[in-house]
Amino acid sequence: MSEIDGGEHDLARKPLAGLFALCEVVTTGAEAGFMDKPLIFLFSGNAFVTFGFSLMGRSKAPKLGVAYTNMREFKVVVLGSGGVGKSALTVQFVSSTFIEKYDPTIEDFYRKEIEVDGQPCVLEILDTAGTEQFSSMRDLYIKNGQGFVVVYSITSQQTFHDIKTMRDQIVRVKGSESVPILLVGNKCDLSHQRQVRTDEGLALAEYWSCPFTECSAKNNQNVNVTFAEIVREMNYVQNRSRQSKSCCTLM
Amino acid sequence: MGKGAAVALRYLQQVLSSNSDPLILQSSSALLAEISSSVDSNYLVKEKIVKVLQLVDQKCFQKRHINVADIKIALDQLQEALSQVPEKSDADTQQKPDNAEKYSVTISGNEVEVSDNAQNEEEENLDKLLSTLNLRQVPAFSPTFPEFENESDDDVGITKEEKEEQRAEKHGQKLCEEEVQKLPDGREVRTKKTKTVNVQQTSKHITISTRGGGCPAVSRRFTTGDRKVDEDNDEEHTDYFSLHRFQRPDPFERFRLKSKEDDESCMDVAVPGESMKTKSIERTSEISQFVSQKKEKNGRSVGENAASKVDTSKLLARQTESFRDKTLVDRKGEGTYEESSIVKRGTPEVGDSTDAPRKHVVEYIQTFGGADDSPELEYLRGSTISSYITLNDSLRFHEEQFCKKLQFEFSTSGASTSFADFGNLIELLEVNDLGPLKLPIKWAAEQPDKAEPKAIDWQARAAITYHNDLICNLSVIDYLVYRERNGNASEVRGGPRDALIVFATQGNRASLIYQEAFLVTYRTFISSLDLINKLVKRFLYMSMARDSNSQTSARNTFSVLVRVVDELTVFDLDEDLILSVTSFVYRLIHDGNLTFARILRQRLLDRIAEPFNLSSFFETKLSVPRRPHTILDFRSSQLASQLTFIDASLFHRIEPAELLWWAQEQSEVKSPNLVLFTEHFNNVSFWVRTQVLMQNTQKERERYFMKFNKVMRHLRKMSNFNSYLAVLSALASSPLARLEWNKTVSDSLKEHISVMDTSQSYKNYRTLLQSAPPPCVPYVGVVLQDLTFVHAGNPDKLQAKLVEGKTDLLNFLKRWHQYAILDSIRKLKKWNYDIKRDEKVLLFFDQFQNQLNEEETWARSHQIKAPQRKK
Repeated sequence: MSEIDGGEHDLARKPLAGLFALCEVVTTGAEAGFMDKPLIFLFSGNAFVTFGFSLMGRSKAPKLGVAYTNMREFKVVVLGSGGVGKSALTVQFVSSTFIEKYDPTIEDFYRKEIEVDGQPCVLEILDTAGTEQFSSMRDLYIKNGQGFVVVYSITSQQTFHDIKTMRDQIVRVKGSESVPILLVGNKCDLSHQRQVRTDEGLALAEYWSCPFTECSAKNNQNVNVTFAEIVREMNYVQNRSRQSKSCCTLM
Repeated sequence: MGKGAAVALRYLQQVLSSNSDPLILQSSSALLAEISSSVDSNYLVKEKIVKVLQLVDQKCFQKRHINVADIKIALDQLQEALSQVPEKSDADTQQKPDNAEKYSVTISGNEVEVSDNAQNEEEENLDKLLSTLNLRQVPAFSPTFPEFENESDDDVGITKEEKEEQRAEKHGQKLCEEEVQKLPDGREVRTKKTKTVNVQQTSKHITISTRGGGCPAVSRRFTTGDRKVDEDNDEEHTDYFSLHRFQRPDPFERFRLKSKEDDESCMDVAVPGESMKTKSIERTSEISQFVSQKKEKNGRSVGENAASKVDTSKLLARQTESFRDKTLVDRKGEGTYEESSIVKRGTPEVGDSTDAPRKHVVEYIQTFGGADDSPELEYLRGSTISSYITLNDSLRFHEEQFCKKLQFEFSTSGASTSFADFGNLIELLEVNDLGPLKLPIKWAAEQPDKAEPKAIDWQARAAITYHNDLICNLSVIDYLVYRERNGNASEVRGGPRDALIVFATQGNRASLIYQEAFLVTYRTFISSLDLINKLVKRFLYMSMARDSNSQTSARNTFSVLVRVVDELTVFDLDEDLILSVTSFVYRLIHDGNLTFARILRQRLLDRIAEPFNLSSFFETKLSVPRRPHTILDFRSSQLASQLTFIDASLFHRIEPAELLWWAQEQSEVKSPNLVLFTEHFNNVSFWVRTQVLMQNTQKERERYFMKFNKVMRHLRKMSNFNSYLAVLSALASSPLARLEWNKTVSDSLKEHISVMDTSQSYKNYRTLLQSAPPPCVPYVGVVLQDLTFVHAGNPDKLQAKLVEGKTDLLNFLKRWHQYAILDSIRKLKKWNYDIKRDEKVLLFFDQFQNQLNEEETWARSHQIKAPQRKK
């Protein structure tokens, strides 16, 4: 893991990154028990933590009490080719284990409340799985999104290839270089069919300077971690742009 | 040999040299139909007809190289075989349309008077059917109009409101009765009567209310009406429908009444012997209604609304009864019934008539076999299904009256059609899943998933033996998992695969809505070929037994089989499947069941679609004009109509199965029509981007932008959400949006952009779709997304912990969800627009080939306005 550890400069981006890195070893150690490789990687100082993170079940947004009205809401867009298991990832995240039926037509199907680093927030997931062919609609979705989870399948080199231009597309549409993006290699339960090596994913993430994870929607490995991380990334990008703005005014 | 069969045979012989597969297939079908209806086939005939069909099928279905000469030889042999069998005592007398009722009775050349009181008790069955089918009163049409904008409700101005309702009914009926009596001495008595009745009625109500101007409100109402009855025969001869013209104020009453039972049957006068009675009926009716509303204030028109509705129905039926000494020995009948209604908003255009070429997609559903097990009610019956609910509840109102087509056949004794209560899908899906399950009483042995399904040559297969196979069980209700409601078993929640199949054939136990859900979703757990093989096996097994339960079961199974064949997709129809079905057809012929053979083969033929070619669809005869057109040369409504014309044509080609497959496999091979449709969507979007971006000045670009904005408005008005969103995605796309537009232009998008807001699971779009009047082309993306998530989120099998550890019970709740989504598509597919092709516009569209790709649009956009990137 050392070769991918961020330098001092990166650690400075997030003051607590070092602490997170410590916690991370503990949690991944436990998870690594049933995996052939640890699935969490440190990169650019952005660490994944399962610590301080809890699931609060499916939100019933309209019925929430006063306490939630100030809760921050993020629109997260899930992107990637067909067949990479995007929908499974989203379903795994938005659903609780107690419900047996999933009806995507109900209004709060794609909403979920999570707590990241002690701060509750609501994620509205925009996952257009099944409609990848409607390429002309992609612009609209990207425009509406605040954070982007870009997914490929580790069992298909093609899907990895497909997303290589995705960051450029997002940046072009958003008109800004600083877009919160997270790169995700799904289906890591099928490691015997692996076509995309972990270091290939890491290399792309480095090129994009964004965090990276591998997960398995099927076995619910790293799913919640993935969505927590995009929240952190969104927070981070937001803070940085705020800082730079305030810097400007000071000057 | 029957005359019809001879003609069909000769025709097929001629067609053979044409080498046109569809023509050969259709004529071979016609031949089979003729033989099954007019020839008492013996073994030799059956063998020869199978031989002919086999060769034809091999040539045309399986595209094998078959020598036409071989088919000709087979046909000659068939002809020879046919010439040796007597024709059925047939009733093919010249049926000239006769205006007047005619009695021509011949006993071996001698004219004899026969009582005209032909009404007899048994005929009530046909009449009963007619009254159920055709004599529905069309309810008064009362559309809801948007409120007129209410300006200040002052007392000074005079407001006049006018409401006009018009209703015109036209009914026509032609009844033809023919009787052939074979007297013991070998003579024949033939009686033929034809009768036509035409009724017309119009009525008009006008209500005018005036208020304001300091006067109290005044309301006046006018009513006018006109009735016309036109009958071509005298009163005393018209006893078929118990007309009592002068006693009944409503001239349509006679159509709604059941027959009177006051008869001395003609059979009473007849001499003992054999007789046959044929009755055919042709009935059409058309009811058009028009409602308009006007509001005037101070003599100035404030608003006007209008809507019209036309209901038409057509019935053709034929019934043949055979009597021996006054006792009914056999009754057979068949017919079709079609009903359609068209609702239009806005004042009807001049010359707008119902006989304009319309392409309504008609769904017909056939059910063979009565729900009742009582032996005296053994007949084949027709039935329609209108079980659409879900997504678009507002469609229901229109839906009920829209297109229905019914084909029915019946035999032995009587016929009736029941329009069953279908249950409520919404209610079914809203129930709490955590509710208790009612577990099976019996547990089926686990079935290993078999390897690739293969074709079965049913002709070669020996008798079907019972191998402790669920497929051969008369009833499987004990093997299924239900939801428990108030201690009783409610809808099916799951079960072993074969039990779910058999349950669909248990017409008396399963609700029609279950059958529909099964037919729409079975591909998620069994291939069409496998299913067909299982149904054939069940049919053959049940046909072996003579008891009425088994016979009913066989017929029910057959009707499910017909439905399956009816809805096969191009992908389903592979060589194996065709082999299985055609070999089953041959077997049916061998077993003497020519009617079923004919029906099944015809259905299979109907599914062999002509290959669709988008380029030839777009092809026009016009040549490119010297000065190429621009979009500004066309009216926005014209452009919107033609976009809709293309969209609707492509949308109607999509099979529900393609959507279901797409959500699971995204296979272009399995979902070709869907792929065409989405490609078209993208083409339109990029074409629109290109049109705007390629203009040289900002002013021109703004003109084009606003033009498309207008087109978009029209598309929305036409409920064409496909092109609406394609154009919207273009105008809102980043390469366009990043350019600087004047305020009018950028504001013009605001009202539209919220439609595609994805939050709350496309709440805005769903709401809009629900309130959109059909016909409608939906945005298929949302459907695909819903299906994808239903698939990803719901397990295929019931959780083992809920069903005593069994791991192979299918989760039917998932299928109920899939059905709910797909059904809204089937429902929308029943509507179509009444738009004529406009060659000029299509030529201008030029298949939307003139488009920049994504990179090029960005390049062009950056060329217009240099990129400035924020760090």
